[in-house]
Amino acid sequence: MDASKFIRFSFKHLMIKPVRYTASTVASWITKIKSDQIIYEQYCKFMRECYRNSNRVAWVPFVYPVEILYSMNLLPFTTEIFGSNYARVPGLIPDAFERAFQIGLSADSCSFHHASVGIFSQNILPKAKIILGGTPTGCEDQYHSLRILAKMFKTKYYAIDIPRNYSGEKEKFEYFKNELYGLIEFCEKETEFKFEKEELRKINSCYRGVYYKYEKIMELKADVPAKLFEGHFTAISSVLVDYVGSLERIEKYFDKAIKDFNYLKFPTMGDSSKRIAWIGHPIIPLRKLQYFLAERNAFIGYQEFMESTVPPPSKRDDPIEEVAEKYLSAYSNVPIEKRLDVIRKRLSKHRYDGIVYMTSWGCHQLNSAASYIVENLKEDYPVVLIDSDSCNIKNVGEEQVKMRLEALLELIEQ
Amino acid sequence: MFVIGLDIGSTTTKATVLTDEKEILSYEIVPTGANMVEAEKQVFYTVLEKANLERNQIANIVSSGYGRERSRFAKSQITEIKAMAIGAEYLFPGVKTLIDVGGQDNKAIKIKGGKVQDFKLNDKCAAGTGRFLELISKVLEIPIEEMSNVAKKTRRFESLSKTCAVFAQTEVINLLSQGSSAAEIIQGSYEFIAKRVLSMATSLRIEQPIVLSGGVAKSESLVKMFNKISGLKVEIPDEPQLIGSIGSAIHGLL
Repeated sequence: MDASKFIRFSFKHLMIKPVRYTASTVASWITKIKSDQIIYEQYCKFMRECYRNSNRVAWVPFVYPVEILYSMNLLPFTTEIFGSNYARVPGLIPDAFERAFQIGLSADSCSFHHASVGIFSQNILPKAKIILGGTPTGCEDQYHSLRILAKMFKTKYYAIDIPRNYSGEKEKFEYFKNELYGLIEFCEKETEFKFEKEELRKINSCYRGVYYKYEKIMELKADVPAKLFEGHFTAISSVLVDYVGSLERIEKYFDKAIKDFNYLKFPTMGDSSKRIAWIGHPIIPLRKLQYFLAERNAFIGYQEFMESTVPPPSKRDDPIEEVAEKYLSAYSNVPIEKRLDVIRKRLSKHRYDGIVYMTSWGCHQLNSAASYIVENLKEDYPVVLIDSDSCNIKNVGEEQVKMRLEALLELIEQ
Repeated sequence: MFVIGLDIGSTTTKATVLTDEKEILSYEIVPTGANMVEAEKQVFYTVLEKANLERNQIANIVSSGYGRERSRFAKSQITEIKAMAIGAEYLFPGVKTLIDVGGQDNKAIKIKGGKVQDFKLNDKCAAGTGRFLELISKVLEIPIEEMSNVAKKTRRFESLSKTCAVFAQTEVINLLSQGSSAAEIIQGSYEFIAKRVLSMATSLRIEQPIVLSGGVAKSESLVKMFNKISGLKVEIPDEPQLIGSIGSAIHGLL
């Protein structure tokens, strides 16, 4: 399969597949979502650029300060997003997890990184000029999996440490700012591109505008069954994390998406349905489980995982300082108490009848946060904890998951 | 009017026939094995035969358990969580907590008036479930139903690490090579199960009266170990595996 066919095939498989939601209601809506077309075009454009300009491609982990790379005209390619998406496509790359294990990734490490290493090691995605690791979500696998890939492809590797923002903000800020300068120095040395401060300033300013539109979408989306906007997850995460360089286009996408929400009159969850908030990683097979829930008149509204994808912007005179502050205060990098506040704030805006907290295989962050968040939310909502897998379909335990979801619904009915 | 409750679990399949007065007419328990459909068929026709009933005399059939949706006979399904809460209330009116050690899942359920107030289940791993005891039984070459009697030979136990069923199996092999007796290892396995289940149940802030169900509740030694570790007194049904099928049947009467 050549690159362009691969892009089109995989994109269609992942995002634009019309799905029957409840009996014959939703499929027709999917085709009306004009904004998805913009994402599709953007995705193809980005992939084409990456395939054609491998001297500009940098493989990076999730929630990484990609603004700096874009300001240098580099193309950040997020391994977890692409790896996990492709690893889910049945029959496309079935042995990604087995490959990662053979390469030497521990069976206990996170499923997202098994997927990343398994897929990226196969040489079908755009090659990297440099590989950048780090600890942007406090996850050590983000450091190790990219290092494994760098070693395998004999590509220059550099990692930054993003400290978790628990205390001593000033010291952490200075420390992280220096890490960013180190990143710039490495990129300038290993590629032919130079850092442009003014370009970064422009990107930061554009990001702020986009962020407020994203917030608007999160608000609108809360009343629409999540399945309808499955593309949104990939879209928002990819758009703001991976393709931030084309912010003008993304802004256009958000404008279009807001229009879609306002004018298409999507079927909302309604008053009689059971509304579920989903905390933690998204699950596969999402489509099947959402249908399972829909048959029981239950819908997933809020998806907490999306909070990590869009760090709230900050405003500083120095654009590097602005980036540093933004990532230090990113959702995935703040104390658990603050994350719980964000969740509570979102939940307070709409009615939710029950909460699912899902931990994905090998994710230490989600596992360790589970008891704190579940115990706190239990004071106000019925909550069920699901131990499953976000990437590896063979490790999902579908029947176990269904039983837990159904038990939650029974509890809500009572 | 007669109803049948089915509980198609990962290890055993159970069926109970009830009258509309909630009297148990017959019941049957068979291993589920690889063929869920066959196991269901077997318990279904056996309970009918034991109760001297024809299929057309059954007004309602409700299934629960892992195989509930694959049931060929059931008219509706409920989860085993709900079924067990109903079943526990029927057998022990006023029960506040049910702890069930199943073949694949452990459950702690807070109950009020036969309704689920809250529940907690084990994570993905089978450590501390009935499946874990099956593994130990295989390593020791002692049938699972005889393990309790063997355990009575000692009060000492070899503590096993509480993380993983497969690791525990490896640990057992090490202990055997170091000269530990089968009785000490079985007692250690019971301690393993009791502590796993208790750590799960404690977070629910469980209240007495407590009912312990599932196949492992048949083991006198395990129940003793559970009482000793928890300091709690637990009630055991005469047939601790039937609680889900009884609950399903009662639901069929509603």
